[in-house]
Amino acid sequence: MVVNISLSKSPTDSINYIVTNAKVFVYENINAKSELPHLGKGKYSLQTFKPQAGITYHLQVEIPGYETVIASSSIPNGNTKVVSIESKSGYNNAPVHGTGDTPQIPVENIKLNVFDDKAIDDFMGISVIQKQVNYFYKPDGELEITEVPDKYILSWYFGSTDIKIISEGIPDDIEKSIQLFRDVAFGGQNEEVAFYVKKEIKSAYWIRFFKFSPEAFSYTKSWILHDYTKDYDFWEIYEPLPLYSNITNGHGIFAGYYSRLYNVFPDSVITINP
Amino acid sequence: MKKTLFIFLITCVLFARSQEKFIISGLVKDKTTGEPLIGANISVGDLGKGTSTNEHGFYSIEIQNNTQTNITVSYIGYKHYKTNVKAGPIIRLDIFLEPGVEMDEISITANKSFVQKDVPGMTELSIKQIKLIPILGEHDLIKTLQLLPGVQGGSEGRNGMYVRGGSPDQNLFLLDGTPLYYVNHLGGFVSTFNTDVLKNIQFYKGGFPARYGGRLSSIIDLRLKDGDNKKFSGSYGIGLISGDITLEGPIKSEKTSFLVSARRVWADVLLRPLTKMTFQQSSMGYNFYDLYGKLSHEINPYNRIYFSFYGGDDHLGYFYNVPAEKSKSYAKYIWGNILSTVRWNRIKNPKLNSDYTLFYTRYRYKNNIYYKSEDDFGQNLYTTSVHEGGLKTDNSFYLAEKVKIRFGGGLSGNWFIPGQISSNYNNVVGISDTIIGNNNNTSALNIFAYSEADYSPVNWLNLNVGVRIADFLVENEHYFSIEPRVFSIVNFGNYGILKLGFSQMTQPEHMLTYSGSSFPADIWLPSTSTIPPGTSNQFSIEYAKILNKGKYELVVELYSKTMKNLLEVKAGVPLVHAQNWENNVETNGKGYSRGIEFLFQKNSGSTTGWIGYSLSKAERVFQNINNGKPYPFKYDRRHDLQFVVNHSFNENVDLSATWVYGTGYPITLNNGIYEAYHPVEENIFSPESSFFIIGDEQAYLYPGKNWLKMRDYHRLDLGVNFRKQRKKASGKTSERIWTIGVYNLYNRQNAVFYYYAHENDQKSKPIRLYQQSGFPILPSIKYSVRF
Repeated sequence: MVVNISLSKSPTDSINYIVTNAKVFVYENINAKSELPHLGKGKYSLQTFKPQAGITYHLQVEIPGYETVIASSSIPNGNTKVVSIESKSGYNNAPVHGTGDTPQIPVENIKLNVFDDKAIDDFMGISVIQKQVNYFYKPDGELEITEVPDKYILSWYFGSTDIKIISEGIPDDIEKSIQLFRDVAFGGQNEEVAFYVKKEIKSAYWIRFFKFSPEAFSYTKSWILHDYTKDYDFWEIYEPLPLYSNITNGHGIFAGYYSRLYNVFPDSVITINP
Repeated sequence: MKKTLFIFLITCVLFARSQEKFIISGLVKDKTTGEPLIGANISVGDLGKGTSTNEHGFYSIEIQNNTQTNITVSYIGYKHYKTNVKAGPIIRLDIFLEPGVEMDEISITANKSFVQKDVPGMTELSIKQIKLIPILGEHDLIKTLQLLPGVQGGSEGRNGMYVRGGSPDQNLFLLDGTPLYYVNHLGGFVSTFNTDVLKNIQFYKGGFPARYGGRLSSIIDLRLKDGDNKKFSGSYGIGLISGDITLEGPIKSEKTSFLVSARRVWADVLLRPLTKMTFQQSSMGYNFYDLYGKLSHEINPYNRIYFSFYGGDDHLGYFYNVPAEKSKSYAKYIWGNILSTVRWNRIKNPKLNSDYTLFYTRYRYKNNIYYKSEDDFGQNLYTTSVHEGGLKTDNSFYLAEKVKIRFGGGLSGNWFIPGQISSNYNNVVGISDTIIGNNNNTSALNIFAYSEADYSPVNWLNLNVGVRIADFLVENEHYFSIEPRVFSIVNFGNYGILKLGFSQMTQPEHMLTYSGSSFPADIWLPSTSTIPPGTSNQFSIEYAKILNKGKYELVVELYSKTMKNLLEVKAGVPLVHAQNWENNVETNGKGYSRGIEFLFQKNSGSTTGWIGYSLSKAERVFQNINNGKPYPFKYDRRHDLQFVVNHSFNENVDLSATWVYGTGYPITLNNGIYEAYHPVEENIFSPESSFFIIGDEQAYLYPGKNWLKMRDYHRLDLGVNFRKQRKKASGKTSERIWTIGVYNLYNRQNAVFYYYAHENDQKSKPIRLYQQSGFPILPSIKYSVRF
């Protein structure tokens, strides 16, 4: 667990005000208080402190001259998990707004088969990591695409037409590196969730599956919309959305989540061992 | 005994006959053009009894049998008409008023004009008033309405009319009784209304008579002229923005007349070549046009038919051509209305005047984006529209001397087409067609009926009680509403007039603005099974007094308006792509608006004008916005002041000066920032790296939605009309008018937006707060001819 503490500043201020003199305490449930020492640059952490799933943690921060800051969250528990992943190569026709251009985009169509624990409300997400690519035009004009070793990116062309994703209300127009969904739209014990991601080379890639606490889910979703709207200008119709915060007497986020990483190959089906 | 009985019976008969009342009815018209006059005052004797003509120029009045009664007819801008009428059988008396000015008896006329405005918050604008106030060389109806207390124009560069805390879609513009959905050109710079074709403008912002419905905040009832049925006349003009021409005249003298008018922006003739010269490979063009037409025919003295038409569009285009790459593309945007009305007006009997209307109106927006290169081409098309067509009847029934009834009803079909994007792409491999988004077309049926009774039990009291019943059927759902409208007028004579009113309104159609198609589009959507109609309740109290024998008028009005079931589009979400658009709007919003308005007006003499002031507050509340707390409405303006002065130096020169002041509009601006955890956006060190990082991005802090007021707004406009009459050998006269004006004379940098940016856009420079300003000083000139 790492806690970053800073002071908010005026938008015209160029200096960041990190806090180095805070006392940071973390409680497990109502017991066992641990103090996180300052490691420098406003970061507070304790190497020996490893949060566990299913436990509620309470944060308390005391800074001289400020009200005590408190927050709570837990790391999700439960049996909901990915059972299998199907990856199939294909193409999307993607109109480019404003140009009339509708190129064909090579994609991997991903189906995640999720076993849902009906006893628990689950908040989930998925991101896709692949190797960075280089584009090179040969002398004959042909485009060559090659992967860059040891360089990784999260694809900007990453979306879904699945109603479980769309119903979260984050439009496809907004570029994002994570897709969010909940089990509220799940109907059966095993549920399939579909995505697509741009993939120009048939090589391995990674899928990270997240299980969020409600606070982490709300924050991640709110960040996507806040980041999209915060720099609105006069010509925009919408107005900025504030960022979610679960901090009392402050702003920010204290929330638990965990993730699992899966290595996937194009045109394959992998079954996940429990 | 028999003789006594006979005398008694004769006396009874004579006495009964002496109490018998008879009806005089007819039309009041302009003597020179034959135009029926709306709102002309007809008074009987010297007792202040009287009535006024309805929107078809019809009146009906009772007189006693055994009297010779003086009838006086008056109308602003016309000489009084007096006649002496001896009662007899049913009398049809059509009255023709001669244009001119009566300087005496103005107080009686003015006092009666107050009385005849039977609801609080109602203003009748004269065309002459609008033409005295040129703004940017144009005599614009909406710009003039924005000079009244309680009416906001919104930000410069954006269209809109915001009445007592309401949004633009809550205003109902009626052109000859038919709704017009889009009323602006050039981003709100000018409206679609050509004042040369308008005869009468009634603006309701407070009390709404039962004959009006479907919107929450205001009604603007516009009547087109019928066309001069005695002689040909017209006008044409050209200014910096547009040129226009209007013609009217008889087809058959005093029976059939026509009116046509066209207006078009002419600047695009130069704009596209100029931009092409400047940018070589690209150019842009913009134009708009309005086209009005009306045919009027009198079948006989009791039946008249009319056909009205309006069509108008805005066209915006960007064009790109790169010959070296053999590619070209364009993006074209078109938006506008068409409207048509067929109307039959019938004087069924001396007491009943009926109107039957068949109408159709449509607003649509579309864009066409096209790309072609040597190897391929692609095209995106998007269209959204709303259509309404139906029939209705309106009736004025003069039940008795003190009772007038209006009743009517109708039904209309409404078709809502939110639109979808269709694209096709041809390449060397093959053809692919894609339809994106769902075709959420919806149709609805709107049925309504209304009744209002206008009753004056005593001379000093007038009551108007009405109800409007409507049923909106959509998607196996129907929304039934009963909307009471109650008004009373107490006439304290020289001490003034007090008006009290309550109106309940229902609006089953919502307008949402969509920004996802590279240009803002207004989309009209119906109430659905999950989104009910909006409603409003408005109370108002108005005190009005004429001063100094009618030279001045003072009106003070208090109002309180509550709105429910309002909508807001969620930030960044689409309406077109959505499977179900209702999921992308915040619903169940409430609006609260309260205020006090003052209007002090001078209507006569060489100097006329008004001072208007309003103190008001308008808020909104949505569960998921601003944490459910009330926040200022986007165009909440605490203080609003208008000075409008027109001075006629002589019959050839008149000057207009307008100064407006208002407290700044609210804005949502961040007042703090902090470092925040955020998802990695693109580059990541390794697949195992943490997904959430800190240090690259900052979160913005907002104390609340619309928490900050921008700096105060004020502006001075001047306009001068130079007129010259010219008499031809034929005896006809024509008038030439030069209109010269300046908008924002002292070049006030009024704020429309605030934003943060690095100095000179250099990231090494500090961040400052900047202001985006509205229009600077803008001169204008227009030349027009009336013949």
